[in-house]
Amino acid sequence: MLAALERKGISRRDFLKFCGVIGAVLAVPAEGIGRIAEALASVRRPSVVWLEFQDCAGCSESFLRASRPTAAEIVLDVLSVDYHETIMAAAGRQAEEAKEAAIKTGGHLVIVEGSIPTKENGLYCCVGGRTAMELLSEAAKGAAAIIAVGSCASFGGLAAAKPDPTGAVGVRDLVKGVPVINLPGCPVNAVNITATVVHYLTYASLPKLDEYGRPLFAYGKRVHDNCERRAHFDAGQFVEAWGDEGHRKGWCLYKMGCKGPECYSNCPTVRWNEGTNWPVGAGHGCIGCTQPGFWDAMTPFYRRLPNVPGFSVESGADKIGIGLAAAAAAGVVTHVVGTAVRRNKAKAEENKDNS
Amino acid sequence: MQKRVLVWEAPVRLFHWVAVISMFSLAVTGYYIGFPFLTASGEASSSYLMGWMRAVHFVAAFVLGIACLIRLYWFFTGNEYARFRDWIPVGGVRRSLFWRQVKYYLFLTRKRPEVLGHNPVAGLSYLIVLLLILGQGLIGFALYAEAYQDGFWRSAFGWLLPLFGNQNLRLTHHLLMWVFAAFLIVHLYMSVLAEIEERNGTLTSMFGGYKTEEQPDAYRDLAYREAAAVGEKPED
Ligand code: SF4
Repeated sequence: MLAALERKGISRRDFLKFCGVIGAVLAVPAEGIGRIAEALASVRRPSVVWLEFQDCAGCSESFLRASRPTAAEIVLDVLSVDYHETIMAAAGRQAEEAKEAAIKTGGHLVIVEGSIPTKENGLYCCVGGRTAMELLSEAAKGAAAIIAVGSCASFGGLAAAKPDPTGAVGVRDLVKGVPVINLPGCPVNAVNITATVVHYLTYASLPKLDEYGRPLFAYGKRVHDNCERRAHFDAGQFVEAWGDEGHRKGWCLYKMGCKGPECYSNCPTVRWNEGTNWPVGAGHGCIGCTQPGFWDAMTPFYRRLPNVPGFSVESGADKIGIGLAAAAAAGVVTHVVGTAVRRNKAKAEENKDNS
Repeated sequence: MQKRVLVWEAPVRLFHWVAVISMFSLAVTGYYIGFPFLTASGEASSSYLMGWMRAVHFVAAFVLGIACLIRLYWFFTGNEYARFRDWIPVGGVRRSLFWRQVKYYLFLTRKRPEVLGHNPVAGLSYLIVLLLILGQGLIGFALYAEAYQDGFWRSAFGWLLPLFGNQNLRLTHHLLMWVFAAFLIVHLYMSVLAEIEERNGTLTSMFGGYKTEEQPDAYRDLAYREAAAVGEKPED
């Protein structure tokens, strides 16, 4: 493969640099980088079938704009992306044949983007006259693994938010018997796709996952714990309004509803757009897009606490709490009055008895 | 004739005041953590406001947790006023006392039932509050475990996170704090009321442990218990 890369104008140096970046994302020790380079240089390209269902193609976009200088190219060369509706040259019958061939051979990787609708037998998303459910189960047969990219393919994502008209679910809810790796995010960070694939190619195994099927190398740490604004959080310096002095000084976005304290992702360390920046760095709070149940579980985005279910939008937890305490105080006052009345009555009766 | 009785043993009193102090600190720091109403000025490196709030919150949580465990142990080891039975209105005498106490609070009877330990209504409210404290602690430690991907805290309490979700846990944690605030108001009032009406040193007993009791002779005591069982107060 190295020869092929050199023909493309990618130097050995660039290649090793790439291996180093991926090694860092995977958190392998320095000796591991050599192993990654070795594996990638000698590997047979596994074929990849990329399926898009209820999605916005945002993860595809993210993947195509993979920022590590040579990552996109290398991944496209390391892998053989045999089917990807958005970027493939083939169309119609030709395209479907390419997919069938890839699936027939087996041992392929399936990358799924977008959620799968299950209501009305999956009628809400059809490609070539067949439902997403059918297409997914067909592609899953004999696959080495399925990588669910983005929050939709992982947990249902946006389409699964209330009222969820299509009954959207993630891959794990449908596919059994094939390992499914979730790479949530809205969109997924391409580095994490690359790193997952490289891990698979290098170690012939899938990375260690957390309870939501997310690789620990990418989703093992809280956004909050690696955030560059964390010092301001601990100091007690918070942005109170967009564009205020604290905002200009880069203070913590906690009071603006930042979900960093409850969100696991490597956004702060790998960042986006050639490592330029990431949402919180750019001044917007984290909205927790890598967590299960996003979007519903993370709204309201610009407040710390959700509303109390069953109460109107305006009634936050504090208002209800103060109401509860006030009701207790009112009860006490009523009782004080009642007790006084009882006393007076008792006294009056006593006086009557005595007279 | 009056007699001084040791009602609240040292561990019970200690638990009470440790609970008061730790719950107060937890409420104040917890409120700040949920809504940081103070902002530090100057360089971030020169202050540690949120840091201290969280540190105090966590330490107080550990203190309260350990205190609760010791109190639970004392339910089985302590004197008759410290035992579980004082908090649960079961058994003829306790049940009848319970309803008479409720009637008294609701102005339906005029005579305040005489109880030396917890009156059964108060006892039940403490049982509920203890359960709420344990629930609050469970939620709190689940949120505490969020910072860890594995290890003790994660495995002991982390299972609550996928079960209920962070937002719901924090909302409940927040609302329960207000339930404790409401309890505090009622609790303070009830104890002052008891102090005024019973005149047996209810408030000071929370420091010294002793209450004064009319010395009951054996006969009266028996009569009292029998009467209590049928829901009446024996004539003096
Ligand atoms: S901006 Fe968000 S993630 Fe960063 S320190 Fe503040 S609360 Fe945590």
